Amino acid sequence: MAISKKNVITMKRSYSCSMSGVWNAVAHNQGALVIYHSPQACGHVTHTMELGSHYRSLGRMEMNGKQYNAPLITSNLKEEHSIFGGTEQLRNCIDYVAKMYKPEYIVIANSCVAGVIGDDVKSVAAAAQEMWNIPMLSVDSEGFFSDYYTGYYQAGLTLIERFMSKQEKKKNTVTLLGDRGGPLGSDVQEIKELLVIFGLTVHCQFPGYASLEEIQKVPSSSLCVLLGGRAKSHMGIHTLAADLSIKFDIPFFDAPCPIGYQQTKDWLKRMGQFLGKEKEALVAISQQEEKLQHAIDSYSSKLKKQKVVLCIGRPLLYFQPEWALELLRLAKVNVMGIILLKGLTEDQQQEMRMELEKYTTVSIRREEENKELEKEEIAVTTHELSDSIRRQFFLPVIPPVGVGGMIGLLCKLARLAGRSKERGGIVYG
Amino acid sequence: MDKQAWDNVHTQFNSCALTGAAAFFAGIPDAAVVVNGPLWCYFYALRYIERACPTIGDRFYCTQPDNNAVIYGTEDCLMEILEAIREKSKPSVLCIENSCAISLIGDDVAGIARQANLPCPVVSLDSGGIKGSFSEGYQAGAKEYFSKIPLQSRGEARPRTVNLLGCTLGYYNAVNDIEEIKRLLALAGYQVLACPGAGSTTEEIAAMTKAELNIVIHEELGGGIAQYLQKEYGMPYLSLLPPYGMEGSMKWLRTIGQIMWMSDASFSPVQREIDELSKKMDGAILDMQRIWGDLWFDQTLIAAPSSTALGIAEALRLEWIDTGFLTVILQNGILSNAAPACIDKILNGQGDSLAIDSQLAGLAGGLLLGSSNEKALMQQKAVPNVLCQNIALPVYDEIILSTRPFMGIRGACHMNERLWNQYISRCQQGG
Repeated sequence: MAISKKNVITMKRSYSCSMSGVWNAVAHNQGALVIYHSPQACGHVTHTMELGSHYRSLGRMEMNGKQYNAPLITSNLKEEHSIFGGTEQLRNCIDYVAKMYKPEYIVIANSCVAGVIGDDVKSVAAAAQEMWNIPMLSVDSEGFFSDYYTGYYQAGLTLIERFMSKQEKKKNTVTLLGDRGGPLGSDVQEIKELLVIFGLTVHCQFPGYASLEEIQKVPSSSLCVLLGGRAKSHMGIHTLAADLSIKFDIPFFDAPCPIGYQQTKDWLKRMGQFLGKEKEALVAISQQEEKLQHAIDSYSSKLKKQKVVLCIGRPLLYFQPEWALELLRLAKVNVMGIILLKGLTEDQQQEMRMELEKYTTVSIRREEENKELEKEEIAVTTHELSDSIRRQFFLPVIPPVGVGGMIGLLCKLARLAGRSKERGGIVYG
Repeated sequence: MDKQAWDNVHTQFNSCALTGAAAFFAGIPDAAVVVNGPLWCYFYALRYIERACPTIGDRFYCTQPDNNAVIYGTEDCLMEILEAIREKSKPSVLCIENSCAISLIGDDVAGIARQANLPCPVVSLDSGGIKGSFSEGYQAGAKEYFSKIPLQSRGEARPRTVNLLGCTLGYYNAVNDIEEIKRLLALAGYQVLACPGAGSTTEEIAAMTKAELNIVIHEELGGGIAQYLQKEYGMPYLSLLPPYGMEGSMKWLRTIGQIMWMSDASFSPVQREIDELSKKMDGAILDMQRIWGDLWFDQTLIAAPSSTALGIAEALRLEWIDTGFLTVILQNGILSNAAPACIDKILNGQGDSLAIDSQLAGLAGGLLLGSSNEKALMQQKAVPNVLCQNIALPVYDEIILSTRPFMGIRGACHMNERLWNQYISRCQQGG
């Protein structure tokens, strides 16, 4: 019997759209307005994504009632524009929104369609800026050429270029670079708690969740801390940090967001060295260890010696297994094996196998080998699996930050372990 | 230029033509769909459809063209998928739909499909957002299907048989509504031969020409198809607002009966059920009314695809509640049917964003029948004490697992139950 529940798609290319990255970069920046130079439906797709975030934050009680939501307007490219060009349509759209919404600045994102037509969006934006005296920022974001992260960081670089200038540094102030669910999200809260240990206070989060005034003051920060993950998102955020460093002499702490205990420990140690506050770092590490140990003790009765199989269907570029293996080690479960799901290509499987072998000696097999899971085994998985696998723990696409994040995962895994084998079902980590 | 063309997307809910066309084919259980476009567009359509059709992923494919394909054509990636389909799955019909950007390249998709030598007919169309929204995609998909795959010759129609047009699993609670419509029709002595795009196989669709009448349930989806089938196969059709409410359902059945020369006696079983349920419902409601007062709202706002919004508005005001002012937002922006007189104001969901914003802001203490989209906007504006019921997608804050429709006689009971229980709950919270 197949393990995969769905016909798992092999991701040959990026599966995201860079326009939505542009949107997310400024969606909650007071005074911003976003234009998609695209068909109307592209706006609807982004809005659907935004709506999901709204309800997720409501569900996690992380909703900020006062959060600004930038108007999102589409230039409404239609079939006729593919023949005659869409620049006139864009010009009219800008004129309308400039009058109607009076934004502090406008960010224009290009769609695949605009890219194929070959509209000169930059020229339209430059002329409109002259006419309306409103900053117009054009970001290349055709979906075929890039992905979500590219759009997000490209928008950030454009904001830096346009709005920032050298300023005197304010001691012990930090700008957080990246999203991670925004200022009220548990990830950002976790990072802020770690920064407090070193006497640092957060000036703002950039590029999202910052007013124009806050953006303009970013160069006065004495440090930038990266909120990105690994691989692709880290590369983008690193570029952003490097740009700020070159232009405004803001040093940045060159480490991705710490996931799990080991990374948190390393992160704190390196931060201590970076700031010359090694003692504080050691205290912080021991606090984190204590916090984690307390959680392990309270969940161990449910988790110890549970049989677990790790199922991986995401390529290495989007899933680094180190943190998942640490979770299983901390949970003290018996990892019976690792299964590489069908959605991975031969190359992706090989790459993942090599990465896994750095951290574990557990046997690795392919889904095609068709060995069924035992009833008592819990599948810890990157994909929803067949209903015949009774208990499944879904590994989040973006793993939560720090020891706090790891404790949250342990707690959920323990709840699943306590669930009757007959009932089964999925717990989303 | 029409100023309303540039509205804030936040007040709107719609999806693209690619999703609409895919939804039509997803509603044919033996059809498969290939999205010739990026994964992002594919995943969006997949997620939209799989809420109502959880196994659609097994017959929904994506070509994932890259930058080179945008310049040199998508033949290679398309062939790869078509060969996989030929080897592994055996659909009765395959739809290949181009996303926006791919539709601009001008690939000869039908020609590529011929080369793939598939053992089933192939329907190909451009269906990205550049072609329009969900309803335009659904209609385009349906028209391509009917123009490429001939139906049986009409011949003599089987008495008391009908088809349902313009139904889709892409509308909220549609599965339950379609079942209720079929049940009502059966109770009145009709047989439904086919419901293309909402459960019928290619074989059932091929035989749909034997029906006496095509009934359009959602005009914005089925109106054009009904006209096409009338022109090509001489099939008469009737387009009415969907049957909401007890009286509304009876009126709907009687109108169909008049066209099909049905005697009054055929409605007796339906009338009996209405009488029995009304007695039960009236008693229960009166009991609550004595305790909690009247179901009255100063302001009521309905937001849904056109036919749903207009149909519910009529039942709401004529049968279910009292309200001072009734506003209807047509989510898809098109007035599908003649607007019932009981509606005070109609807004275009794709063009009146400022007016919609202001309606939502002024809804304190009122009633909202809409989607999670309008509810989220109210939450962001902190509008207090609004009684909310989901009647349209997107829905992020409710699950319906029981077979409880919104349409028909059972739908009327269900809606009354939902409205009253919410109202009582609000009273208890001091609202």
